[in-house]
Amino acid sequence: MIKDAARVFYRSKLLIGIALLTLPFCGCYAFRYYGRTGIGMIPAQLQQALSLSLYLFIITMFLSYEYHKKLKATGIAEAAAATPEGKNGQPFWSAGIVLSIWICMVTLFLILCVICCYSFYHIKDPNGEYIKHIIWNMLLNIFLIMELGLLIGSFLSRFRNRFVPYFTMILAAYLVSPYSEELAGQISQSTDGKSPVYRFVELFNIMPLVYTKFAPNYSFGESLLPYRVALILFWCAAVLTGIFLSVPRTRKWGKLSALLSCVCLLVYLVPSSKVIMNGNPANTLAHDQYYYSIQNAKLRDEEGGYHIRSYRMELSVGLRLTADVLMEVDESLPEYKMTLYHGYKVKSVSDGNNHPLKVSQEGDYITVKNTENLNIQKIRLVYSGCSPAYYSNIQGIFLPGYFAYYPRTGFVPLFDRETYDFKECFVNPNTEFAVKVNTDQTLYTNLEKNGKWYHGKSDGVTILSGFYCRKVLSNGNSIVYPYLYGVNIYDGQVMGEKGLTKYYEMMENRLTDLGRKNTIVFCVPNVNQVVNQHDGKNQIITRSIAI
Amino acid sequence: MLEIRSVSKKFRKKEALSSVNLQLKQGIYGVLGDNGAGKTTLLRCIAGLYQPTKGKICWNQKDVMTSKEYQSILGYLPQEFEGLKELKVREFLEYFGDLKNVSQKELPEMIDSVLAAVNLSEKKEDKVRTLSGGMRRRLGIAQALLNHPQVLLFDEPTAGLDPKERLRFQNLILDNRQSNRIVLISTHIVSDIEALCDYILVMKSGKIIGVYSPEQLADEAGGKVYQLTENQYEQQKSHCIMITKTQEKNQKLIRVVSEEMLDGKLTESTVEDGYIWITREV
Repeated sequence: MIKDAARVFYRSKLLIGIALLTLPFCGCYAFRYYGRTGIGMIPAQLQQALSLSLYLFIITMFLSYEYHKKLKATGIAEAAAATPEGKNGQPFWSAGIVLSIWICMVTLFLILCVICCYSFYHIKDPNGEYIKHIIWNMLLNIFLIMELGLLIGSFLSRFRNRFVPYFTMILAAYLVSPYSEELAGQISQSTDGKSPVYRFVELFNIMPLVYTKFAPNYSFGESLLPYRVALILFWCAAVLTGIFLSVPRTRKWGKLSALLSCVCLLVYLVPSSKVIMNGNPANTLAHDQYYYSIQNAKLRDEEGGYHIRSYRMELSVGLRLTADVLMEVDESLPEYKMTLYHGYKVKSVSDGNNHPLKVSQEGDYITVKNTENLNIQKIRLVYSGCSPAYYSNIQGIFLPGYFAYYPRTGFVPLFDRETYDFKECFVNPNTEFAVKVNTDQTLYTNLEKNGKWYHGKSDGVTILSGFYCRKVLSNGNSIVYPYLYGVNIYDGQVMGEKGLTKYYEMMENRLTDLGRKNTIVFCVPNVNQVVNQHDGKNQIITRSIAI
Repeated sequence: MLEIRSVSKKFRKKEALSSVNLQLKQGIYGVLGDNGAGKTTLLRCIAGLYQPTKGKICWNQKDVMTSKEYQSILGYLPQEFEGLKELKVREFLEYFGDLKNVSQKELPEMIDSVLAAVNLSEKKEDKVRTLSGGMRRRLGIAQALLNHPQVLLFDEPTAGLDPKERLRFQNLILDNRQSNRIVLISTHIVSDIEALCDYILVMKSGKIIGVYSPEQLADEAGGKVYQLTENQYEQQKSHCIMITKTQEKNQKLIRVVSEEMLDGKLTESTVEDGYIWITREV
């Protein structure tokens, strides 16, 4: 059957013509920036290939529609439906397999193109992690999205006339394209972010976020987060449900796929840490700008009347951050004022003996009440959540030490309404930290590793994970930098083998000039903020790769 | 035996079939009716393409919708059928052979046999796109004949064919007649089936209004058919139903049917006369 279906495909001049021309088109497009040096050129190789997603989605939809229509229009489908294999929808499944084989070829071809483009730079890629990232991205953003196009085309071929399917395909192409987001952005801006238009538009946001004008996130790469996978699978399952229900024999599978689509939708809707750089006010730093400035959330500044001597933090990073933080306090008070970023919701509070305490949380501010007048030496706070700007998920972690992802003493204003940016919120540099992070990712922090725990005194715990490299320099200094940045910002040279040596030298010199010792420099993602730097006691957090 | 038990089929508000009851044994059945009478709907229900809204269709006591045995002995030619133009005739029949689960061993011989039956053997390696309309219809019959079906359904098989091809179709059906086979042919062209069918099922507005042999159907209009001149027709047209107009020796003659005695030449009734008479608007 597959052989017969393949014959129909490759003997049709229109179908085979489009299928074959797609490959050189993809090749030329993917190699557009091959060999170019400059800031952003390394991630641009993958982004360039991923930007083909939309075109390939449209091409596959059209091809699938015309291919399946060919079987219907000539009466073949009706005659076939009266046969044992035809009743199971065999001609359509065979056609689907033929198209899937073509999709596999395109995906494989693009993977090779991107790896070839990336290899030009001779980047030191620990354990081939970025190569794996390329492959997974191609599977999600090219293969799976093209399969969705195939399913939509197949489903629409069941309509008798051509007007409804073509209209639907054009509408689908518009909704998944960046144009629908532009319109949503304009509507959202005109209503100061109050319009729910983005919630609707983002349901169709299956394309990789490579069409935005924001700087790439070198350490995170392109999003492979569960919510994106769930959204694409939701649409695949939803269309499959339509297909199964239209064939009498396969109606029971329709119920199964309907259930699967509901599950996928739930996974998509579950609140999680996302890295989305677009105009949606709910995403990245725009969220905080709207929250603090336009929605005028409270910013308070009040002393707590106590100090936190040490933190023992057990963090779990999955869809979002879950934290179990035990704080040693120096005073037993009737109430404790604390600051914790509003994205993290408190689940429970207790003392060092696990005796529950009352708590209230309003925005960034938590008040723990010692109503029973206990002699409190330790407070345990369990909370979970995420920040749109400072992400913590299964693909990457960006939790800088100056950010209140763990509690601070007193009520502290976290945001600066003048600069539209977060304020530094370091703690006393003599504070003891013991941190355990439950994740499979390789972590970079400013604490010493001891088994599964990280220990040390610091003014704030910075935790990073992603496409980073760590280089130990002299005087106890070291740098953690995104190796995909690609260009030494000091001299504009590509950071291959030779360029890296030069870069390390320049950083050494810079740190020496600043008189820094035992300092770790974290080169963190920009996340659409003003490029600036936070200087801690034993750490420098910079949104560039220079200081 | 094929049993159609009180089958009705509704599409939204329109009832396309209404309480159809039939028992079909071996033989050739014509399904005769005007456009919209429900012929295609009936055939699609029998082919298992439509689930009846009410009732059931059974083959040897098993529901045709679920019986795998039935699907393997069914041959169906839909009304619209052009074939896959890119394939060769042989490849096209291989495609349908696979759909019908014909074993790879038997398939080449079976293809040769059905092509011979429809007189397309010399076109075996030609592309379907090169065949004429009549040849493609014969190819459709060939695919229906694959795997020795015991139930053959043809939906308007002669629509759009020239008189030669229509005659060829009739001969084809008669030549491939088998003692254990049920053949249903739906059409609105009486002449296509009157010489072919053992029984004629007359349909009107979704109902079977009668099952007749060709002779019985002709007899329904016995003693009621007249041949009138144009003038005679003009004078008596309110008392009769026109069947056909013909030209004979520079004179137009009009064939009519009427229950009343008319001033004209009484002629022998045909199947078409009987069909027109029993489906007349009362």
